Amino acid sequence: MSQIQDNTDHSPSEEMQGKAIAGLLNSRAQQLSMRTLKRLEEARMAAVQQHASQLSGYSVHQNGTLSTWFSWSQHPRLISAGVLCAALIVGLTLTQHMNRQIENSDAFLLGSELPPEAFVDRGFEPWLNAKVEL
Amino acid sequence: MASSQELSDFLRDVERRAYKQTVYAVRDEHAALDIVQDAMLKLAEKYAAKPLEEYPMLFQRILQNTMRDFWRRQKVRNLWTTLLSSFGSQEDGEERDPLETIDVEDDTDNPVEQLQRSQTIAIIEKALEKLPPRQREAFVLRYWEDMDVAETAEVMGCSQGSVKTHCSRAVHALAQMLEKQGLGARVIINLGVES
Repeated sequence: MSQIQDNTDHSPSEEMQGKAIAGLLNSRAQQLSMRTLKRLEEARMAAVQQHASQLSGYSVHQNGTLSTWFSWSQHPRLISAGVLCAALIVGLTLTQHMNRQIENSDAFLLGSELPPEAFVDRGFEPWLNAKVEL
Repeated sequence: MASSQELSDFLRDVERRAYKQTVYAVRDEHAALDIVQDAMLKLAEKYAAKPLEEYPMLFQRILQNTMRDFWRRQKVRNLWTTLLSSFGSQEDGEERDPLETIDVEDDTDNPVEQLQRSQTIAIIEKALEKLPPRQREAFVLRYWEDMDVAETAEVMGCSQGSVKTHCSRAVHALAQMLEKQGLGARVIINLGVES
């Protein structure tokens, strides 16, 4: 491969031929239809407008670096990452809260003098209340 | 950082060449206009803070990438078009815009010369369209955009050796195709120098 590359260095005639062909193509590029030229002009103007609005969003820090104001709002990936992080934090908090509740109820059941079955039995509490009233 | 005026001047300078190069690559004038517009907007949007000197290479890279995106989309679209083509009808009464046919005047006064040049360029354009994409890309960047080998290699994302190989093969292939049409290297060089 390197042999091929070394052998295909530009010879002057090759260079001249290439330039001549490019020159002819370039002359054709100068003869575009009015409609095409108009479309290109519109595209150029839109790009320049975009450029101007980009420049107005730039601020120069004291150390000379550039940053855009609210540039994060123009990046959907950043917004998606932010939303995902927020959802993760909310999920984590809720899970911790639920775990804490389960731990508390477990500790209560284990520390109670009554057996756990007593809390499952629906008739137990009315029976107990009736007993206390007596 | 380039000013908006500098960007405008730069784009005015490259837009015609960029358009023609894209037409040779995608063979669709409307798509070529869209691609050039996309490339211009991307340059203005993403590289507003870059210095003016970097614009030629950046623009070429964006343009080549936008063309590749077009081809990728085209592949998918072609698949569906092939599947649905039997249900569609042929467009035969396409409207013509008179503006489309008006060309900017040629500088050459001699009509015979104009015709000869025009025919030669048409042959070259056909030959250029037939080149493999990488060879065409290398040829266009190296000779038409006047980039050096290192710059061309950077835009194409390949080694300098590959650029030389692509360019050499492109010129040889073009020369061969033109020779078959009776246009020798000397004729081309003469016409190219005149232009």
